[in-house]
Parts: sequence; structure tokens; C-alpha cells
Amino acid sequence: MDDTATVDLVRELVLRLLSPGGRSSTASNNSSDAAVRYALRLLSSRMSPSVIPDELSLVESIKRRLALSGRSSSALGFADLHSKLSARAPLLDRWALLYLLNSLSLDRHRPESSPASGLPFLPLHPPHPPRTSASSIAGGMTGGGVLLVAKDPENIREIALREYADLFMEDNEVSESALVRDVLYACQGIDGRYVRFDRSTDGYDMPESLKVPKPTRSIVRRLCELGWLFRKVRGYISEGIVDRQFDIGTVGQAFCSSLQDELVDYYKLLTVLTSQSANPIPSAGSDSGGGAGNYLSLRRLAVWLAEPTVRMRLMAVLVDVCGELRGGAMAGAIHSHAQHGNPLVQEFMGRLLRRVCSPLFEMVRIWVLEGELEDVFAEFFILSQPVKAESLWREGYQIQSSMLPSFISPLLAQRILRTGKSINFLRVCCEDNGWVEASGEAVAHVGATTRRGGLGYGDTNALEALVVEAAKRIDRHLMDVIHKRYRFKDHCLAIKGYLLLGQGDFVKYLMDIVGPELSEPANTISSFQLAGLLETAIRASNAQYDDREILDRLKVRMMEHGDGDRGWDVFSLEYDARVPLDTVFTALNMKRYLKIFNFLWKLKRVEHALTGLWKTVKPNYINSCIFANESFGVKLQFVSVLRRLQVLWNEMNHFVTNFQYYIMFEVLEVSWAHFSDGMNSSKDLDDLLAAHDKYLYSILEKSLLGEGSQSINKTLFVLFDHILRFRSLADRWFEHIHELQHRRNKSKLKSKGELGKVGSLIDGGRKALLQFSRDFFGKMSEELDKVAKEYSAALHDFISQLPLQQHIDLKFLLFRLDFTEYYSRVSSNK
Amino acid sequence: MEATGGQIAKETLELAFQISNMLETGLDRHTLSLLIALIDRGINPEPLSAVVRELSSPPSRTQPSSAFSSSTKP
Amino acid sequence: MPREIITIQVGQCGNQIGMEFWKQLCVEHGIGPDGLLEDFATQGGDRKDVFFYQADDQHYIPRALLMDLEPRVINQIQNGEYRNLYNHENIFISEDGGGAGNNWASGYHQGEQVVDDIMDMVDREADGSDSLEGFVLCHSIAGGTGSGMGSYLLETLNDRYSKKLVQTYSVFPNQMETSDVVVQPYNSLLTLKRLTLNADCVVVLDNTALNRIAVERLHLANPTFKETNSLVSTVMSASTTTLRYPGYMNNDLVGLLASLIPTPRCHFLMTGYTPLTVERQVNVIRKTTVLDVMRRLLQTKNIMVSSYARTKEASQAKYISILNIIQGEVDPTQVHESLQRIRERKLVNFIEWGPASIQVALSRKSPYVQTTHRVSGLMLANHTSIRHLFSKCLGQYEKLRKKQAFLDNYRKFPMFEDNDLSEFDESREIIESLVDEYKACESPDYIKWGTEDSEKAASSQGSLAGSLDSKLTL
Repeated sequence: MDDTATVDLVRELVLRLLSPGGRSSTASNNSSDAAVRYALRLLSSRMSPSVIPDELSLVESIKRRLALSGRSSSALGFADLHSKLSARAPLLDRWALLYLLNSLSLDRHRPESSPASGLPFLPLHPPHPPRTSASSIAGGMTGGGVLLVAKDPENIREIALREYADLFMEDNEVSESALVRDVLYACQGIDGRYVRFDRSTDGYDMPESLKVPKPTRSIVRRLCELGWLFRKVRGYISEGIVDRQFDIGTVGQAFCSSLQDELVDYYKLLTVLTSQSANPIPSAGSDSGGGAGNYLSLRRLAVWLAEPTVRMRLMAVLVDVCGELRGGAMAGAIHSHAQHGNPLVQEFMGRLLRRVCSPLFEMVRIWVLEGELEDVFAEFFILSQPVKAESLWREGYQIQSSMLPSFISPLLAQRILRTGKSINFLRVCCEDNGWVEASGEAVAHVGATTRRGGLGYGDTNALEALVVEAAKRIDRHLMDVIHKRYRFKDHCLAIKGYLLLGQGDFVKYLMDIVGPELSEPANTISSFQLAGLLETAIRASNAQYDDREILDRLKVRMMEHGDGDRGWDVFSLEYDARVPLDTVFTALNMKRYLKIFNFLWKLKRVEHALTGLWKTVKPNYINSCIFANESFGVKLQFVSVLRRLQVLWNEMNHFVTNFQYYIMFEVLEVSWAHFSDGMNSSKDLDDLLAAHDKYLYSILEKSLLGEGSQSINKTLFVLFDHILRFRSLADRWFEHIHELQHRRNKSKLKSKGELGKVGSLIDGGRKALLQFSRDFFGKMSEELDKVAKEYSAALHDFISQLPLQQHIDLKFLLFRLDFTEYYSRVSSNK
Repeated sequence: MEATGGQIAKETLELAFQISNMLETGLDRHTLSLLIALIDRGINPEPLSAVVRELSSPPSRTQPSSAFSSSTKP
Repeated sequence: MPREIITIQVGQCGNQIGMEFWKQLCVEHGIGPDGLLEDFATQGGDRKDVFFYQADDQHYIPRALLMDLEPRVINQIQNGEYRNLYNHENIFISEDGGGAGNNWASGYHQGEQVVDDIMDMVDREADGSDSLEGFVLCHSIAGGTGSGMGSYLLETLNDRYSKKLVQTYSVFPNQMETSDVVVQPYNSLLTLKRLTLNADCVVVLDNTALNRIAVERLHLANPTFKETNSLVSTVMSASTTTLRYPGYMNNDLVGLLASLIPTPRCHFLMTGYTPLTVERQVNVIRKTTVLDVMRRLLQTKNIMVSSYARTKEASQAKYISILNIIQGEVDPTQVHESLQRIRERKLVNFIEWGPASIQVALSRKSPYVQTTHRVSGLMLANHTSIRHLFSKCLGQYEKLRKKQAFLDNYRKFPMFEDNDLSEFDESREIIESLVDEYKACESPDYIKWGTEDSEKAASSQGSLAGSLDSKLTL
């Protein structure tokens, strides 16, 4: 209709039709212009669903009609002409031509044959393509049956009918044509003379008082359903366009405009119908040929309006369904009605959905390619909220499942979410622009559908392909940035080395130098001084070769402390992860690391205490200790108490050492190995986060720091405390022994000096000293017994709890602790 | 070849006109040629027939002969 | 605070194994013979400062003291490839250069004479350290210098650096061959006393076993000292890997030794190493697993101390402790599996008087040394069967002593003047009690051993004075 050539042709045609014979007409230009406009409107209307262009059956139908009307020679002639035409003009749309000629022919013959059967050629009657019109003449259509009688040559029935019609007319206060007009009004949402909208019944109806036959009333009511539906749809549209313009969002706007377009077609139909309604309806008895144009009866109207009603009903249902919905939710709701067997409905829904989903798909496209949320009306199924950079990944964007249309699978939605999130993460947290290239590559790879507006409903596969490609590239780029630019693994290793004490030499020195400091009350400790000591430990150990970038992040942290707390209770190390890695090492995760650090630090402290004690009683000291070379009484006493001390020490050391081996092999290294694998196979940040969370969780659980291990963990700390107490007791004992030894040496020297020669060394002082030593060793022995007993009890408690820890596999630990089945033997002997 | 093209068009119109007459559509040759041209441009025959009917049917209805009148619709 | 360790190598044997040890350390750390870091040695992670210090000109210098009473071996070093490695101020050769004549007493006495000189060197080295962990002494116990002078050093170190660790790598003489040193049993006994009393840890390297291993495992017909010494340096460097490549555990000597030596007297460690190769041997690359390594380490044929036990005694022998240092690419999960197998097959007997287990330390391998095997392992074990080695020494001593043979050589020196041989007797007593203690460790009642009559004895004060006097006269 756009090209002027066609318009010119139409104009010429119209003029030709209006002024037959081809002579220039006297008709006013006005009326011819109106006619041209009218013709163009008709031609451009989409109200006619297409008849299946089946040339052969059309030809057959024409031949049959000609034959039936007694012109079999014409039928033969037609067949001949048709075959010639086929040969001459293979390119011509012969079906269209024949269809046109046939329908014009039918039109001209209708008054004589069957006025009612004129309907089938009406464009809005898809179930009855023209070829069936022939059969309807032969077999008689339901609609045309009554009037066929009128053609009956024996006029007896005709007279009877006329009588009936007169009776009928009397019964009617209102003419049918008035009702037709009213129905047409109602269909446009306007109250007519008789048919009005009744709010109480929520529908169009005629006043009860009006005298109208029941069937008429019912057909009017039925037809007016369309009006009711129309009101609803129009109401929704006007509300959407005017009142809720900003509320319904772009999807809603698309929906409204789509509905509006459908209504335009509907209006066109109504225009045609209205024009036809002006023709008088031939009464049942009147001469069928006389004066009646292409008139509209209620029944004809019913046929005309049947299909628009279906469509309008569908629209009304959608309007109902959509209600207050918006955006993705609206598209989803519409989509849920698209699954329909009726091709008419399917096509309509497809058209509608393409329009409705277009803004939504555009949002997806921009989100996965540019990370922008162009969602002014909050319609998208991805919702952003302002958060700090560190929680951008975890909390910045969420899927709003209510806004997620069902034609986008949750998996795809997750992918969409992650892709855009990755872009934003790169942009905000990593200050990276490389993603532009990545998304460019994705666009190039997927191709044309990625243009703006290129995606629509039904292209879900294309959308998915785009999302998958973009996700793949952007995830890969993000992983690259995280690994290469932000050296994720290096930081993990640093945390493993410093917070999980893997850098043993550093830990040792730190323990050595901060140890004395930490024994002081917590509130007297300066964290500046600790920071200095930390620096010293770094410089003294291999940590010094680590990157400054990494070392700068390592800090001393003093936890909240109460009154009685010593430095040991509050000291810890922390690692400053910084953006963007704080997405992995969140505050919560760092708290978990802190918990692990505190535990491992305590374990190291206990080990340190035991090693320190060993140094006090190390072989060459003990072997040259004066009491070891003393004879009999005191020596034996000393040897005995010392042996027991060493055996107890051995037991404690065995426990601590093996616990540490367990921690190292079964917990830290194994978890790290898994994490390392997970890290390498992580395709996106979510994978990486999951791998890291798993790593951390596994360490916590296996180190007995989990929720389920509170009781055994308590026992463990009791054991640790026993060991530390043992150490401080032993320190006191040996301080005493040193002192005794010192006094002993002095007395020895004195006796040597005074008496010079062998003789009465048994002076009072020596005796007293020996007695003193014996008393001391006796007391030490008692204290030692007490510690040993308490420790054994706690250890027994611990070991007996191990098999009860069913949520974690601790058989490795038990296996190590009881490698020689020493404890099994001890407990079975009991 | 041009001549052949014109020839074909002429023959086509002739055949169509014969069919039109056979079916008693009441169309003259010129009108038919316009209609064929429109169909050739892909115009849907359904509304096209409606146009012809709307604009020419009233007289044709009252006067079944193929006489056309320019009178406006009643 | 690198927890420095000062190595003192005394005598011919001590200097030879020391030299091999430093060579090995240099190779492992990528340090050239001149003490300069090789260009390729850029992969960090190792600690050089435990055993080396850096001079102002970036030279790495071993914390090593080289001492001998005769110049031959040290001269070799000073003319050898590594001549510029050592600090020349750290080299002591006695002025007269006559050696100790394989006489413990001579070595001990000469040591006493030069104590100021050598202790100056020790002090200087110690002062140069931030936090000295201790000393490692390399020597043999059979000759004169390593045993005698070494003994004197041990006593002095014990006295002067009582808080520091003293570890020795002590080479025991080959018991299978008739030695050219006839007085070797005397020397051994007297040195053993110092090793018992004045050392914190003695790594026993039995030349008999080293020879056997060289012949049987390395297929060398007549192993040279150099070849057996390279076995020793392998053991020495392997036993220090956890100090030089820090990890989660075992990062200092004291931690390493504490778990191995729960009671003070029983501080003699055996070693085992697998797989063994020497330089000239071309080996097929083997896929050794952790289990293979750990199992082989428990086999006597790989242990560098010969077993002199009779079968019955051998079956009673028990491990007091075991530490396996595994080097190479090891999957930590294999460790547990291997331990499980070893326990299932009852491949190892542990003491019954306390809990015990095989400790396994995983350590990195030097990236600069190409080896033919993926995994290698060193075992440090405290095993009661070592007592049979001491018994053997005692037996040989008794034989010689009964004959009163060669004692004149000793009487020349102050300790044995006036035919005072009480030093021999006392040493014998101490070794006997050491043997007894190891034996006692095989029993579950070790905890009470030697203390049963403590109550009774405590009341008998009469004898106290007498014994005290005898000590004072020492």
C-alpha cells in the first residue's frame, strides 16, 4: 500500500468503478477522494485472515458451479481458458485473479441464488473458504437454509412466511436493524438506544421492559459480550497509556500498544459493519431482491463477530491475567497463555509476545553485553541494589523470581545474572575494561541477532546462544583478571602461609619474639610494638622474600579483650584482602580464617611450650646435672621424678605432634589440594567462591572448629591448658633445681675450701640441703602426679569422643594418636 | 523479447477477460486490467473484491446488467 | 633470627665428611664453589642463613669451623675446588701439625692446650649469629683428633653453651676389618662417654654399615672413603632439609630432635636412606611411591648402622621414635595410606611404655639438583638395637683392656698419669648403663627402671658421702 504506483492504480480503479465506461465522471472530487480513501483502508486492513490459496480446488469449485447452473459448456470453456492461462501466464497469481473474479461473480449472482450464503466470501470467515460456497449452494448451509425456502417456486409457503413475518413484526417493539446498530454501538463500548451497559450486572443488556422476543434478546446479549470484552480491553489500554504510563513499564507499554493495534483492526471491521448496517434488512416476507443492500441482521452480525470475539476474549483474558503485573512477570503471564492449539490464537499470541518481550530481551542483551541495567520501571528479573564494592558480587544483584518469565529457564537466568554481574564486578571492583573486548567477541561470534532490537520472543535459542557466548568469554576474562592481575593464588598461598601458619619459620620466630610480650595482660600490650615484632619476624624468616605487596596486607590484630585476658587470648594476625578479592575473602570468611588462626596459633603455642621444656631438660643438661651424678637417695629420687616427667612429656608431645601432623596432612594439605584443583577448574567467579568456601569449611570442620564439634573442641582446649600448666609448673621446678644446684655447688666449693681434704663433709648445711632437695623432689613428684592424672583423664575424654564425631572423618586422627594401640591397650587394661 | 512480454500480457488479459465474461462478473476490460495489475502487486484479492463490490455493487445490484451508475449509496 | 647452626668438623674423617656436606649444601642451594649464588638460583623458598652467612660482598660463607691437628686434609680442602668457600679465619690447624697419632688422650690433651684459640673461633662464630640454635660436630670416634679433641670440645661446649643444642655426626669404625688403629676400642669408649654425657643427639654412622651399603646397594667392589663419605653427606643434608626448606612443621633442630629423643640418655639415632645412588652410577628412573620409601627405610639393609644383635635380641628391639623425612613430589594423602599399610603388616615395633608413631615430614627437594627418583626418604630413628653396637664396643674394649695392651700411650697424658685408669672404668660404667637403659626401654616397665629402690636408697645416707668424695676428686 505504500508505493505510489499501487495507490495510483487503486485511484484509477476507484474512478473507473465510480464512473463506468471510463468516461471522466461528473461525480464530485470529494466523493471520489473519500471512495479512494475507503478503498485504500479496505485494502490495507488486515482483518481478513488468509484463505488457503488453493488454485486447483478453486478451479474445481468454479467448474462445478458452472456445471450445476446448467452451463456445462461454459464449465468446459472455463477449463480450457484456465489451462491456456496457466500456460501463458505462469507468473501471474492465478489463484488471486480467479478468486477475485469468482467472488465478484458470486456477488452478482447472489440476489438470484442465495442471499444468505453471501457471507462465506466475507473476509472474516476463514473456516469457509470460497470453494465451500459452491457446496453450500449444492447442499445448503445452515445459515442459508431458511431463505432458500424463499426461492421456492410454489409460493404457498412464502405467503405463510409473510404472515408470520407480520406477526413477528408486531411482536417486536424494536426493529432488528435498530438492535444491530445498538449492538454495533455496544461493541464500541457506547450505549445505544436500547442496549446499554448495566453496571449492576456488569454487562450490556436491554431493559427488561423492552418487548423483544427471547431468542433475539439472547442473541443480543451474546453479541454484546464483545462489547463487554472491548470495554475491558480498552479500559486497560487507556489506563495503561494515560494513568499508569510509568507504572506499567516498557513491557506494559508494548502490551498496550499491541492491544491497540489489534483494536485498530477491530475498528476497521466495525466501520465496515456499520456501513452495512445502514442497508435495510429485508423482512422475511419481503422480496429478497428488492431494495436490500448488503444488509446486517443480528444473525449475520453473529457470524461477523464470532472471530473478533474469540480474539477479544483472548485479549480480555490477558488483560485480566496481567492486571497489576509488570515487566518480566507480565511477559511470563502472557507466555503462559501462548500454549494454544488454535493456530489463530497461536499466531495472535506470537505477534503479541514478540512485541511484549522485545523490551525485555533488549534488557537482557544490554545486561549481558554491557552490564547495564536499563530498567527504569523495575521490570527486569534482575534487581540491583546499592552495596559496597566488597559485597557487589554476593549481594549487589539478585534474581527476582517473580519477574522471571517462564520461558527463561532458571539456569539461563543464573547465567544471565552472572554475566552482567561479572561485567559490573570487573568495572567496579577490578577497574578493568578488558570485558569490552570479550563481549565484542561474543557479539561477533553469535552474529546478527545481537543487534539492538534483534532479539525477540521465539528467539530464545538465539538469546541463549548470546548469553552462553557472552558468559563464556566474560567469565574467562574475569577469571583471567582475578588470577593474573589480582594474583588470587598468591594471596591464597599467603593466607595459607601466614594465617594458616604454613610458613613455619616465620611462625616460629613470631612465636619466639611475641611470646614474652603476650604473657602480659592484654591491656598493657601495645599493638604498635606487636606490629614492629611482626615486621621483625618477617625480616628474620623467609617471609622476607615474599612480595611487599603481599606482606603489606599482613597485620597484627588485637581482638576485644576483657579484664583477665592475657596477650595470648587476644593476639591474632589478619590479612587485608582488599577489593576485588574481598569478594572471596569476605569479612565473614576472614572471621573464619581468624578462628582457624587462633586455633592453630594455640596449637603452635602448646608445641612451642613443650619444645621449650625439652630444651630445659635436654640430654646434655640432664646428664651433666649434679643430681644425675649424685649417688643413691637423691639421685634415684631425681631420676625417678625426671623419668616420669619425661614420659608424661613424651605423651603430651606425641599428642601435640600427631595432632599437628593430622592438621597438616589430613586437613590443611588435603583441603588445599582440593581447593587447588577447584581453583583450576573454576570457570567463573561463582565456582571459585564455592571452591574457596568449601576449602574454608572443610578446614573448620576437620579442625574440630565446626558447630558439631563444640564439645570435643572444649576437651581439646582443656588438654592444651593442661599442657601449658605442665610447662609452667616444670619451669618452676627447674628454676628450683637450678637454685639447689647452685647452692650445692657453693657448699661444695666452701667445703672444699674450708676443709681442703677428704673428710667430714657431712656438715649441717649439706645435710639440710639434701633434706631440702628430697622434700622438694617429693613435692614435685606429687604435683607431677596430679598433672599427669588430670591430663590422662582429659586425654581419655578426648579420645573417647573421637569416634562420636560422626559428621567428620576423624579416624585419621585416632589412627595417628593410637598408632601403636597404646591407648587401646591402656583402656582395655582398665 | 519485449514484444513477447507485451504479447504475453495482452494474451493474459484476453484470457482473463474471457473468464470474467464467462463468470459474468460484469467487469470491462480496462477495469480488469487494473485489477490484474493490482493482483500482480500482491494485493490480497479478498479486500480487492470487497472494493469492487462496495464501489460498484449498488447499481449492479439494482441493475443486474453491467450498467454502472455514479450515484452515491443509498 | 635464622636459628643458626655452627658446624665444627674435627679431624681427618670429620673434615672429609664436612667437606662433602658443604659441597652438597652448595649444590642444593645453588651456591657456587666460590660462595656466589649461581645465576639460575632464583627460585626462593629455601633458607640459606641457617648454615651460611653472607659476607658484605654477597659471598655465602658456611658457618663452619675446620679443625685438625695435622694439615693434610685441610690442605686438600684449601687447594681444592671449594677453597674460597670457607672463611679462612675459621680454619684451625695445630702448629706442630703432628696430629694425634690415633691417640684419644693426645687429641684430648692437645685440645686442652689450644682451647683458647679454638674457643675464640667458636665464640666469634656464635657472636655472629642472631639466635644460635646449636652446634653440629662431625668427627670419627676411632682415631685421635676427631675422638680426643672432639671429646674435649664436647665438654667445653656443654660447659660454655649449656643452653645450645649439640648434635654430632659420629662415624663409628668398621668392625669387620682389622683396623690399622689398634687402640680404636679405647678411643671409641672414651669418646662414647662424652657422646653420652655431653651431646644432645648423636647420629651414629657406622662405617661397617656404610661399607656394606656401598657394596650391596651401590655395587661398589671396594668403596673408597670418598664414596662412603658421600653417603654421610647425603644423610646430613637430608636430615637438615626441613630446616632449610621451611614448612608447616619441623622447622627447627630442637623441634626435630625433641620428638625423637624423649629421654635424655637415649639420644643415639640411626639413619636410613633410600634410594641410594652415587655420582658415577647411572640409575634407571624409578617410580618410587611413599609406601615404597617408607617400607624400604624400615629394612635393616638400608640402615646405616649394622645390627650386631642376635636374632632373639633383635626381635625384642623396639623403636622409641621414628621420623621419616620424605623429599619430592608427594601427595599428602599417600602418607596416611602408607602408615596404614605399615601398621597392618606390623612392620615396626614400638616401645610399650608410651604412645609412639612414625612421624612423617614432607620436605621440598632442591630445584637445582636433578635426581633420578621422584621421591626419596631419610629415616631418623631411635632404636634400642643400637645398644648392641655399644656392647660390641665394650666387648672389644674389654678384650684389649684385659691384655693391658697399648695403655702406655695413654699414660703419657695428664688424665692417665700415675696409671690412673679410672677414666676408662668410668667410661665403661657409663656405656654399660647406657646399654642397660636401652635394654630397659624394650620393656613396658621402663618408667620404673633404675628407680625401684629410690625410697630405700633415700634413707641410706651413709654411703652418700663416700661416693660424693670420689666425684670431687675428679
